[in-house]
Amino acid sequence: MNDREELIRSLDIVASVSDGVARGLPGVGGILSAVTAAAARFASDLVKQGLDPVQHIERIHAADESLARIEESWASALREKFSTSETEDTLTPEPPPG
Amino acid sequence: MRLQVYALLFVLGNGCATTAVQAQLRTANALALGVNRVLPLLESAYRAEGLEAIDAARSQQDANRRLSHVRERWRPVWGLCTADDSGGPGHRCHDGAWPALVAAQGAWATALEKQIAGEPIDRVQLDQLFRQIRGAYCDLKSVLPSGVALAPAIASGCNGAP
Repeated sequence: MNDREELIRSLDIVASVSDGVARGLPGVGGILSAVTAAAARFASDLVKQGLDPVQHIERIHAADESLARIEESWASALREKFSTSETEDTLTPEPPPG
Repeated sequence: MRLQVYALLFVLGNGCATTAVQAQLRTANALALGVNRVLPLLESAYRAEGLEAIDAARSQQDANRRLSHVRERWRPVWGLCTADDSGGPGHRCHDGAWPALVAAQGAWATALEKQIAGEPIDRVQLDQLFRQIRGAYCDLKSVLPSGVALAPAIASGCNGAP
């Protein structure tokens, strides 16, 4: 089995296993599995067509900025609910005990 | 449509020879595409947990305590996030499964791109980097809070298998 065939086989396995997991998981888990399965199937289909990705590889996105925005949304919800500007600094996690 | 952008990326590479390095390249690319689709869902689940904690709180002190619990629950995923003191915007997260996965996939992708650009192929380094990213992915799977799960892409080596 050459590299191309091996890659197609691997991606097909990922897609089929992910589909199975997606059907068996409720809620968020099912959504995540389905999304990953779709990505694997998409990549597999393209490789089967001989459309090979080269030159640039997608990078996994950092979550830092999104997490900062989430903290801001929580701070905003706190202010709205308790009508006070005296919210704790939600960007700084509490120190570990001890 | 993002899929069309990705399709264009693939089409741009049409016609190149298939090698072991390119097989890794495609895997690294497909992994990032899949994982990047998962990120907003994880963030959404995290945000919702915090908002639910605030909704359920009877006082601001209670809300802050509940939010701390949410952060602790997700800390293995996101790591320790602190204000960025290097002058950059937002904050910086480290020592978590997600930052580790970002770093591992980035190092792997960079090494692959260099070799595709003509640098000598270092299969030992590529194999090490591949093992690192598989480990990082398995770590992420293992630390996700209950009720959240990832599909087992490239996870055949998780659970102790080499």
